Amino acid sequence: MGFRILMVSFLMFFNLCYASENINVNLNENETKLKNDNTIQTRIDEIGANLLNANKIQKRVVFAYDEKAKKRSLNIYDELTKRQVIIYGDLYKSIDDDNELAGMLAREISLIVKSYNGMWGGRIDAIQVGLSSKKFEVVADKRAVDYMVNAGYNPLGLITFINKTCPQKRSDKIARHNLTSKRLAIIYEYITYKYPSYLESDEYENNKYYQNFLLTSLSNRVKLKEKMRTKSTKAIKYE
Amino acid sequence: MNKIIFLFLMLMISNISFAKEYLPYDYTDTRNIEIKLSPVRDISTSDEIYEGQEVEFRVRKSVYLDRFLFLPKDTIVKARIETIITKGMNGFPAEIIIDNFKINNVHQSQLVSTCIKTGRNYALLVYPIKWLLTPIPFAGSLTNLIMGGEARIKTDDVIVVNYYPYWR
Repeated sequence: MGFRILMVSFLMFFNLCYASENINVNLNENETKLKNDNTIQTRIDEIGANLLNANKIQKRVVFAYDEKAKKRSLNIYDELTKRQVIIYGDLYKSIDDDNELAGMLAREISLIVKSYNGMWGGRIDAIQVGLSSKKFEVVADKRAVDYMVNAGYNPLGLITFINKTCPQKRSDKIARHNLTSKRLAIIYEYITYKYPSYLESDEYENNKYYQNFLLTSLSNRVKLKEKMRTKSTKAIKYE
Repeated sequence: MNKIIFLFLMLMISNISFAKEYLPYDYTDTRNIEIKLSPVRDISTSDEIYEGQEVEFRVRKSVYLDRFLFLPKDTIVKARIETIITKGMNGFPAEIIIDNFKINNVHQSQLVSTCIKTGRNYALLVYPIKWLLTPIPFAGSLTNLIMGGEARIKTDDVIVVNYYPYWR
């Protein structure tokens, strides 16, 4: 009898210890996750504020990091309706340096700025941006390059970020988005004409992702070279 | 020897306390001067213009800073075409964004100068017609062919650039 009581009390004590240890582990995990989220959010806010202040954007824009949410391809952008930049966890995973994060934020900021202008407090413009997403994809990329340069970030970061995160589709004839290779070529051309010093600097020379872009964009870059040689002002049909 | 170390440490601490980092901008001051400009030539998306192209503006009225003439009338100010958005279907208007105004003795950080000029937006006309025609097969899609207006800045248009002389 005495032995049974001893065994039961031992088991209860063991269970109690195990449960409290589990609770402690969970608490520690939650705390680590919160700290991690806080670090990411602070980094995003800091770079976002740099972009807004350096470009003297007099519109309110907020940034929110959401690890679990995924961007649905057919939604009207949160950027246009809530004037909020949401950074999705699956995209944040691919960010290497501040230039890439700045590129990602700058794109969204340019869309938000557009949603403030125009008729009915920007509502009509926001609808049009949502509907002609193909055209505005390119405009947002170009504005992002300007914002990045004004805030002191290297615009080649936008190229490496898109190169890593956006898949290449077969065709964009009846699609809502441009081919990624076309977008990248347009950004490269924009930097070539407006900010050539960034292409001459060696900051991205040893970047694997930039070198991969250079490799995959050979035919488009040949077309650009030809345009520059002939001093043409016509738009190039990139592949 | 101890005195020297103590003095050295004091010097280090005083340096650290004085080495305050400043942001490259300070938007505290609200005083601004309006600089009114007009383009020397018409700028239009229907012409052959390109992103990064330099364009010239003329100062419409002399600008004074603390009673001193700061920018005389008819001074030429150069700027840059930043982005061009071409007109599109469904009444989507063209747009020109001009910035980077170069004014003598003025830092870019002291100017709020982004000039956005948009063409006629026919969205309010196109969408109601499209919805009305939707019951007739394919008729609604015909409104896709209505193009938006070109963006144009004429020589008598006035563009206002705000100069904040007390910003960093």
